[in-house]
Amino acid sequence: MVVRRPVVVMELPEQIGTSQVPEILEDVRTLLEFQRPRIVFDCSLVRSIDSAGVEMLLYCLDESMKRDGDLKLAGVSPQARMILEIMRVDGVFEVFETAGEAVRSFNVPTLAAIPEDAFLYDSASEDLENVRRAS
Amino acid sequence: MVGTGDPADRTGDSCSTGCAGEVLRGGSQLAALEVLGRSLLEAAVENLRMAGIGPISLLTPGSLANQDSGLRDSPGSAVESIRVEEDVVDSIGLKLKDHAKSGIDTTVVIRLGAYIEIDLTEAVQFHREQGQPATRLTDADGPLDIWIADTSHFAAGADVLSSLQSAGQNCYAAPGYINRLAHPRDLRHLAVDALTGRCRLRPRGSEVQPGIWVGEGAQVHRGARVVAPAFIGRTSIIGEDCVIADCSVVENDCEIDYGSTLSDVSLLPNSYVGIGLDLRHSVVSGGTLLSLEHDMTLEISDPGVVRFNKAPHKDVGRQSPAAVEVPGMLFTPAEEAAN
Repeated sequence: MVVRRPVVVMELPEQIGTSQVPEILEDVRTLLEFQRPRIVFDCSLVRSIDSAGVEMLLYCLDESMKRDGDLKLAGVSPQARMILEIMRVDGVFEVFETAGEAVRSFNVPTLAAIPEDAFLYDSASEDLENVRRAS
Repeated sequence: MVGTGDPADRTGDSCSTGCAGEVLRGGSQLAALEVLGRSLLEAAVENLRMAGIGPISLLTPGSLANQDSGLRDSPGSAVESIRVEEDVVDSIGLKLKDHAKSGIDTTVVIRLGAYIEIDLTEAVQFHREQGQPATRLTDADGPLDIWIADTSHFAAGADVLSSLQSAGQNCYAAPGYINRLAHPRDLRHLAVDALTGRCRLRPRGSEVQPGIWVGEGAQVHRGARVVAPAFIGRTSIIGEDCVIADCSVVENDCEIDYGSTLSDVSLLPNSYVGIGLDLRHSVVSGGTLLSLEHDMTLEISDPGVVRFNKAPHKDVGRQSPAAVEVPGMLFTPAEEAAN
């Protein structure tokens, strides 16, 4: 039986730089513990991203794909898209206009973006545990 | 103001006699820009000399007077530099009176900003035939900041400002190459036109291969690829595995790090491009990138991507005039004449 994971939408902050990357990775690593993770980074709030931020995106994509999953980007501003082009990674990611489109592209039932407090916490852990057991 | 020939020789109608002029360095920092290793001021002076106009006086507002004009390296430089602390217009008037006393009957007044290659001989002739105190040059896009003025009119005490303003009634449509440099896109056009021979502006450096000019002290790694036409400025460094293509211009004192590609890019003086980047259809100055394709300006704070190459004014010997950080002014249209 193949278990389809829910798609997790994670909203990235306004700035993705050296200072913010550790905190973001802390949140993402939990998602990456599962097999076949399906992750959407909602970048609609992102106003600034530097090379450390791009490296973080690549790392997350790489780790997702190692587990037979995928990571997609949504709501990338023209400015952020230009940074991705300059750094030659624009073709690496699937980019969608909205988080909804990105989620639909996985062709699975959607989940709302897990709020920050629910993400790391007890209210979510049971669901995550159930998913883990099912796999 | 740019003058011509021997002011004592008043024979003939040629603009090579009794015709002087002035070049004003405008408030915009475009006057300090370098294109293909030459300052626009230097190019303007050279064009005027080629037209047989001289002597040349450079009126520089106090705020710009400390910037290197780029003229010291010009062979046969005979430009009088005047620092203007007060109103520039008053200084024009004084200079015009001086010219009148010296026997110079016609003066070309240029507010530096656009790059022009115009036959001023015909323009001066037109002006003299019209018998007006001043004539303003125009092109298809409207009036230019170039006037031809009768010095005798101003020696008699006429108001310079109103005379130059009213010159709009007496216009001369100037044929020739004109680039208004109102937008960084124009800067890119000028560089491409110069590299492809559509204007007289020539790169400063040696043509090491057909269509590839390299300035003094520039270093191009043997593993880099430079596709003609292209310009690599003085002391610039092109790293291994870099590609410079599509009429790209790397001005003086730049560095392009390993593996980066420039395609249809003007990299302004003293700029650094990081490792493994792909810049296209852009004008880059320090940490500011203007994408001509997306018509968007990015301020990039990551020094590993793009940044200024050296601290401003560090190299006292041959400091590029645009080595100082140029904030948004670089990407604003030329200011209107400070009237």
